[in-house]
Amino acid sequence: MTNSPAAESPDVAAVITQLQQELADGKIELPLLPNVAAEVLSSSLDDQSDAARLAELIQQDQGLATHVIRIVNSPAFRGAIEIVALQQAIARLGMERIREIALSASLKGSLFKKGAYQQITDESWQLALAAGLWSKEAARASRRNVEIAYLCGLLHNIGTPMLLNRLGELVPSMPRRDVDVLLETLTPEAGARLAREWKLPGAVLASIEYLHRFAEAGDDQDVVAVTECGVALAQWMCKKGLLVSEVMQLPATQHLNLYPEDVELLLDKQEQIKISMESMG
Amino acid sequence: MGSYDVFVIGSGPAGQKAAIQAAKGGRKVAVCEQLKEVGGACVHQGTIPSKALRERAFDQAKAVARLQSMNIADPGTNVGVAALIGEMGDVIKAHDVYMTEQLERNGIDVIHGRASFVDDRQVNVRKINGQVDTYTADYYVIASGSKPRLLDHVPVDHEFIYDSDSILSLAYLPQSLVVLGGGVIACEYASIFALLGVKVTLIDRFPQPLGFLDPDLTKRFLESFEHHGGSFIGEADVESVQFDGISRVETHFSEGTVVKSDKVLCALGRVSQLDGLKVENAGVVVNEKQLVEVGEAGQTSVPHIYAVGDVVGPPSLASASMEQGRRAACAILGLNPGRESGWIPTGIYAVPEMASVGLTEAQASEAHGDVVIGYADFSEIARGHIANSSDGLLKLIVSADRVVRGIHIVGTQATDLIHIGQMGLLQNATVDVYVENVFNFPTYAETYRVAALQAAARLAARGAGESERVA
Repeated sequence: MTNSPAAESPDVAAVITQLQQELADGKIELPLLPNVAAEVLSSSLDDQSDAARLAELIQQDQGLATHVIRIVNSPAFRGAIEIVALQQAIARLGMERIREIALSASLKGSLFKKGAYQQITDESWQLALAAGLWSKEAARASRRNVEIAYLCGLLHNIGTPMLLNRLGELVPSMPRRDVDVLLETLTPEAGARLAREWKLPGAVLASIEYLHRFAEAGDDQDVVAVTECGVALAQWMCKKGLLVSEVMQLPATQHLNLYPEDVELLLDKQEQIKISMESMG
Repeated sequence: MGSYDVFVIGSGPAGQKAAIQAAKGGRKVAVCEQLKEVGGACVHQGTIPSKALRERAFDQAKAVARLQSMNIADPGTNVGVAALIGEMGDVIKAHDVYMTEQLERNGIDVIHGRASFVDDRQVNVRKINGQVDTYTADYYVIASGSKPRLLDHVPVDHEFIYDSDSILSLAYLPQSLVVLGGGVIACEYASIFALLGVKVTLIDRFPQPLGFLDPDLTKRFLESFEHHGGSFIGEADVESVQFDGISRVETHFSEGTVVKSDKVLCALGRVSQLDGLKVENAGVVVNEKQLVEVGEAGQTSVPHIYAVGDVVGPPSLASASMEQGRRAACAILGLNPGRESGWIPTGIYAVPEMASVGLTEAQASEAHGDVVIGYADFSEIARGHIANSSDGLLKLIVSADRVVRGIHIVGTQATDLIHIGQMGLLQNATVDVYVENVFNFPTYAETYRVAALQAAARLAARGAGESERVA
């Protein structure tokens, strides 16, 4: 299901129609889920995986391993001793954090890559990362599951880079306003296609499909509301025009029973999240 | 500004019953609830969810046992908690609907927001959208409940270290779980997760968990818990709990040992929930334990303000809280609430189920001298065999004057069975009442007769012995 664009030029309408058709016909090329991301995703809800296996997984991708080591030595995470090995990194930061870093880095490298709409791609990546981190905090504050919240936030706009890649092929240069309309219209649909193709967890799929419509998400209402709240806080932090007062008034925030004072408390996490983003981004 | 005869803060068992009783007495009543739904922690975090999870755990264990009895391979017990919780959600929703309708039917206004006293006649209610409304009332009932007790050395993060309000947000069953505490909540969750196949370590500072219970019940509980793979560490001095930075949570003891687990549940009791209520503005006295001081019928230091339920402290049972709520409303209405029950049964929905009413063996001996005990093992009862649930025990404590002083049960339906004993206690029933009357066959209730027969025989033997000595 897609939203109707608020206003669009005839050109953008035609591109939207074409992309919609390609999505419906399965003609749009879906990127492959990177191996590391796939394994990290499948292990993130599985208590069996261990530190050695995770390290081995990351080590298979030299670029990723380097990236993880760079992040754990960044100011956000750096301790007294320099980290030189992945096992050491896992011991320092913990499996969950390393999983998050690996997943984020892997997705960024494969999906949010350089292309025609680089600035928008970069912005959507920043938003994804912030949404993942804020979703965790929203989940924690509202006593919902914290582990799944990061995934849902991080992947909420996974359809965006895919659309931008295809758009770059079709129309190398389109006004920003039109691109925004296109993304607003098609991101949920494209993301849902990708989530199904990649067999992402049901909660992630629901967070993509029902974002901004959490009340329709059935049993996944809570996790979608957490994601909506996380995305809203990310938009606020990334200066996407959303005000704190608007975050407080969101139906999703209220669904989670987060009072204005609870949201204020959440905002205290901003610096911590910024530091994490600078390191991971 | 809204105005009410009775303004109830909190919609848990205590607040709900107070509100309904007051409304039935013709008063204009409002209930202020900070959660979106009515019912309080009882419905949304505690009593109902844990009991619903317990039932699902039993269903699963029975299904697995049945498959194994048919030589069908164990399908694996690591069912996602989300699936179990999904079913629990339906139970909670049904309960929420029922309670909401009950409040509506009685013409009670439900106000969603956080209350704080302005003075003894006015409260401000901050709504979820930030709007603040002011209300006045002739009477107030504080029934704001409790929250998990948190300690500095156990940093609950709801991700690796949970409290009893967040444990059911788990997305999957961990392989191992440490449960801190030896009270009702700790033992219930510990035994439920053990039944679900999680390796559970229950850690408490006392030598035995559930120290207030009769030792025979505790012994059976621990046997069952260990049978399901759980282990208990008593007399433990936990120094710190911390995530190890890799994948486990470490529970450090003062003597240097460490227990590692995937997750930790901190269930070290609950404390009153008075945050933001500003009871001091109303002149309500709170003691050093942060409990509201109350007199008869829950009347606080301010005569037109009552407090009931967990905010006033033990017994902190939903059942007792409901009665406290009703009695407070009766006092407000000027009605006689009736004689206060001296015997409140305790029900523990652990695996196995346990219940108790009256005196323990030690208390009865102290109060009434020598007592005799009558036991009935569920393995002696046809119903136990039929239901494949013969692991249980009923214990009757009888004083020399043949009066039953206490009843303690562990096993299937214990929390229901206990009420037969409760009624007997209220009537000062002798052991003969249980011997001379007929119970349905086959039922677990027969255990009363079996235990009573044994107690009567022991009394007779003692009588005979005494006669011989006199002769």
